[in-house]
Amino acid sequence: MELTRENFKQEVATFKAGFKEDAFSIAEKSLTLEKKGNIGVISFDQYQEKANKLSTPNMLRLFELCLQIEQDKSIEAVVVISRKPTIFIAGADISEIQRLARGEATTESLMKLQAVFTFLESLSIPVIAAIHGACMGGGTELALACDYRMASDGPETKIALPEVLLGVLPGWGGTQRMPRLVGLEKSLDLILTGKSLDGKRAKKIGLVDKVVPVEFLEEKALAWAQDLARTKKKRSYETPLKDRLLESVPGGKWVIFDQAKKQVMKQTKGNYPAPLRIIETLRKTYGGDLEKGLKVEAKAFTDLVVTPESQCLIGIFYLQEKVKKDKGVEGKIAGKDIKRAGVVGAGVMGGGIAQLFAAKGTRVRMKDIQWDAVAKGYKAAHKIFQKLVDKKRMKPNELANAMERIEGSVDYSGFSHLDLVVEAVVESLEIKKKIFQELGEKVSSETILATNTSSLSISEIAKATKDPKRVVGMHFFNPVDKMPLVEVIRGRETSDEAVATVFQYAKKVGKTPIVVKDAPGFVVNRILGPYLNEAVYLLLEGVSPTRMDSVMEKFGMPMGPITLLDEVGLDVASKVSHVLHQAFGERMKPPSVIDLVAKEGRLGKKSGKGIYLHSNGKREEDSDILNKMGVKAVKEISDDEIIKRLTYVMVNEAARIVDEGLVRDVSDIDIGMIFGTGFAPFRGGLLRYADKVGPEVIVSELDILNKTLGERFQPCQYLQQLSIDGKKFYQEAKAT
Amino acid sequence: MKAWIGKTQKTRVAVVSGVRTPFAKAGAKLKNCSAVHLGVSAVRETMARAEWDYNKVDEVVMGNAGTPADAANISRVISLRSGFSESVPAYTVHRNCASAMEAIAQGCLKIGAGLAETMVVGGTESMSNMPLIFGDEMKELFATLNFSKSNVEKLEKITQFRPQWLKPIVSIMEGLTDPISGLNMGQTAEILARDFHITRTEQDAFAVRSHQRTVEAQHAGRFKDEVAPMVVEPDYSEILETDVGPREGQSMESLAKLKPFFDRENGTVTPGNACPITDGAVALLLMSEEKAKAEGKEILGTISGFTFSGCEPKRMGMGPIYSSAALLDELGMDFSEVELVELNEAFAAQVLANQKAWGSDKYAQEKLGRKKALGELKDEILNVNGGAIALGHPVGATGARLVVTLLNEMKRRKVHKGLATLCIGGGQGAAFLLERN
Repeated sequence: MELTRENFKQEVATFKAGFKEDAFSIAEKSLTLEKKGNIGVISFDQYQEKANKLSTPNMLRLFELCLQIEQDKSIEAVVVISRKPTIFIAGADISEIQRLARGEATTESLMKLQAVFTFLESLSIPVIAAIHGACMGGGTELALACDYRMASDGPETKIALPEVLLGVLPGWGGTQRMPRLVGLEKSLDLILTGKSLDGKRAKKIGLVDKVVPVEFLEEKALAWAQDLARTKKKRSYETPLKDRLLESVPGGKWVIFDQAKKQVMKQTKGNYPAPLRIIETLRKTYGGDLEKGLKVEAKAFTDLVVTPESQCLIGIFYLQEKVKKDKGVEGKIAGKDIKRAGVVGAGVMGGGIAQLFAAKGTRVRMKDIQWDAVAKGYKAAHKIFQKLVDKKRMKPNELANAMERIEGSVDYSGFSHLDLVVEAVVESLEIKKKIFQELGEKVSSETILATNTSSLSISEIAKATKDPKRVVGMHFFNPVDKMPLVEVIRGRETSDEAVATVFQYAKKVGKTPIVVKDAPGFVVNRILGPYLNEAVYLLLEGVSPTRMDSVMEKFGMPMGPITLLDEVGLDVASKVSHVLHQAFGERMKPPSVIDLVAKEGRLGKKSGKGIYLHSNGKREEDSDILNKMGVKAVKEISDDEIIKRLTYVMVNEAARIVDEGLVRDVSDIDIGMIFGTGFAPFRGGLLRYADKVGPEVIVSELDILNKTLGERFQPCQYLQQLSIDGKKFYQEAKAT
Repeated sequence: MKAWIGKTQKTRVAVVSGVRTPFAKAGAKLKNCSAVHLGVSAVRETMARAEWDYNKVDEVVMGNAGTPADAANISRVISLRSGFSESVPAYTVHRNCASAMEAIAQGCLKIGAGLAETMVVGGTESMSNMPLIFGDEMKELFATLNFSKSNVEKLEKITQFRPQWLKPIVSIMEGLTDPISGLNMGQTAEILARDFHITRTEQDAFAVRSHQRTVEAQHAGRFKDEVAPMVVEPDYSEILETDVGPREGQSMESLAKLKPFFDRENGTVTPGNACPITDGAVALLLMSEEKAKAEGKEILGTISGFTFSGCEPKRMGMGPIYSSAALLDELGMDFSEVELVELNEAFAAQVLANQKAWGSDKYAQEKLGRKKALGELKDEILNVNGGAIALGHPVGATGARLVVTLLNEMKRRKVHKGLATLCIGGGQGAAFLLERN
């Protein structure tokens, strides 16, 4: 049954049952209609909250306002505007989507909410969406249901349909009205990537009609409404000429869909149902009847929202939200503001860190021993900025501003007034200790001293200074500008202030931090250790690198383990694996062949030769590699076994990390693995995946591997206990 | 014009730190670096070596002669790019060759009067990037195209266009010509050579000495205290650690081969015995002596006084003696008390002319209104680490280099009083007396 003018009151009563008592009175306060002469202004100002969200009560309230507008003949045009400073509408209420995911969603109930926008669209007077700030998902769909759209020129204005990132699709007409407005190709791009457009870019593709200064948004919208009221001009959809031409070519549409699908398959290996369903939905409905299209869309949404992939992606969304609110420490300690930073070591990591800091407005003094090294750091930073300029993501003067934020030096001059110093030299405890001792003498008593070590003990490094409280780990991943994770390492003596400062600053420069206690390899490298070792063992048993990589890519890793080894560098991997072996004993013992390869100068991608052969950015399998590594017999190993061996050793190690209390929450491991290694997001992270498989299954598999292949598979105590108790890593899943 | 005298001020003005970029001949290694970037490089290293807090600087003043089109108030751009807060004001000063000295003068005036406690001053010049200017015909054409209302009118103008209109006027040549006398700077040097009967050989010998002294100073690492190495934009492949200009084996023979540039027939001034046009920047951190002491900063030297004097535009090279005489008089000092002198080497002829005038009672009586000469300006105390003939003369920056080089050498020699002076295109001289305790 549809939502109609007639049954509205009754429907509200039905809906009410599912919501808090005051939900509807709050909606009345949040969405209001005000008359400015002959113009009706719908103001959205979510009561006592920062963000405007299209919850069900708000949607019904909007319907009610449309009813009022329809009845009030003195209203000749409508403007929809937000009263929040940086948000138009942040989208639907994701907690409601989660409820839908529990099977409460039906195509019918969704269509009732679709009807709200259909009603808005069908009003006989012109309606303008005046957009400033984040306009996400449902917000964009609301704007699409208006006749006209006006956007502010502020950088806060971001218009997107990001539903795909949560494993679903726009369910309130987005898949229908977007293509009608901007054509098929651009719609697919927007809906499949979830990317956001600022006002200028939105106007360029025809998504908005006008871009105006934010300060005059309301005035301009009212004036425009006045004009439209006079002419009584409703919008008629007109697909842009270029798109009409392209689509009118016989098979043209088919080619577009086909291309889109190929692209999706290449990027997702078919692991994500949402993008495929989006393509299918558009293919079925494009150019057809709106009402029918909406129904197909609603069905697709309700199917997708219950998929485990969507639930995992929504779970990750919540993890990110949690990080946003997190301060890295308990209690009220606030991190200090970082205006000036130092970086010691201008290598790949140091240069990358300097670039990142400079890009975010921090001044950086970059020190190395030799000017040649400093020059390389500059060059690396410049290359990244230049790329942004080439892509028109940065203006040339901004590049000059950013580059001038980086200062080069071969001594510690200028280090006495820095807020933060990040050391990023070679992984040698001796050298790092020397540097921290020097730094300790040089910097002010306020400076936070961070190390980017990937494997050494923070507490040990801190001993070299007089004030170990200010020493903390700040572990970035390579390449720094792209990898979102930062492990913030708390040494034995590290102060809350140091942790909070680095945690907060990592967020400020756009990274996702997790706090880890000081232990070898921290989270990501420690979990990757046995994974990469196992990959080499599999090689030695005759599994070809290409096959192993493709199996793991299909599993959902962004790159397979052998490619990862070559990217990281076999020398680096070998060094880390020895540190881990030393720390954790036999189970982490690296296969000796890895040293051999590194010693032969097969260092990985950087030397042109690793396990693969690399040239001109392409990799090729060395047909003789297995031979060279001394593989004698080739064993039959199934894809499934490859996955099990590679992933269960990771789960086992992660369980130890949880058991040792190194992370504050099990979810930190998932954040670490997803943002540090790209571990299959649609699986929700390593431990979500483990929970889905079931600890008891993993333990029994590990037991078998333990007996057949060696003790490195011995399931740890914690994992065994979970199995015995029938528990999962995420306990709260049981409680609710 | 009276001199500024340090001891009459509310506070003495101290130089805490002074750093410059390497100087490189125009069109050479720093040709792609803007004057802004050069300035930023010098300012940042001055701040770093002084270990000074960017929040404790009241104002930034830089000298610059060839204003870049994209940075009219170049000081402000340098200030912000160097990392000073937006609330720190900045302005640019222009007194031709003494622009950077004018910047130091501004620092003295403001700190001495108690208007500021700490200032960053200096100068920058990218002579490689001096603008090329269109001639009047081209200007006219642009104006017509912009303002004419009808296309016919525009077309008419376009058809009159002649390709030679595109021949640019090199602003650097214009800048080095004095419009009052109509003489190029080199021609003013030729006049001094005639006035003081300075031969080509004498000039070349002076140039050789300048190179020798500069090269020796480089080898001894004496510029290390003032030169901050640069990773050169925009490739970041090259590192420039020392000045590009001084020639290790500069000889009379090779200089003799050069043709006089300004008077082909009878001239004596050649590119070899004149300073080359050059890129570079210098910055100094100035503060009130009390402030420096309270913050525990080592003081490189204090400024006892300075003055600027005018002289004949066509004999602009004599500027140093006018300003030095005036300053010493007002300080109540005898030249014999001065232990070290930096006198800018615009032209060998011009330095030699000053040297001669310095010891001449006649010159003192006729030109300076003094009974006696200032006293002999001995080779042993003059430009002991060479000068602009070898290092080059980035117009807007040189004045500050003289002060920094002088102070560093005074420190090495443990002497107390030094004079930095230079001639200014257009007919002026500048003189600064510096002191170390």
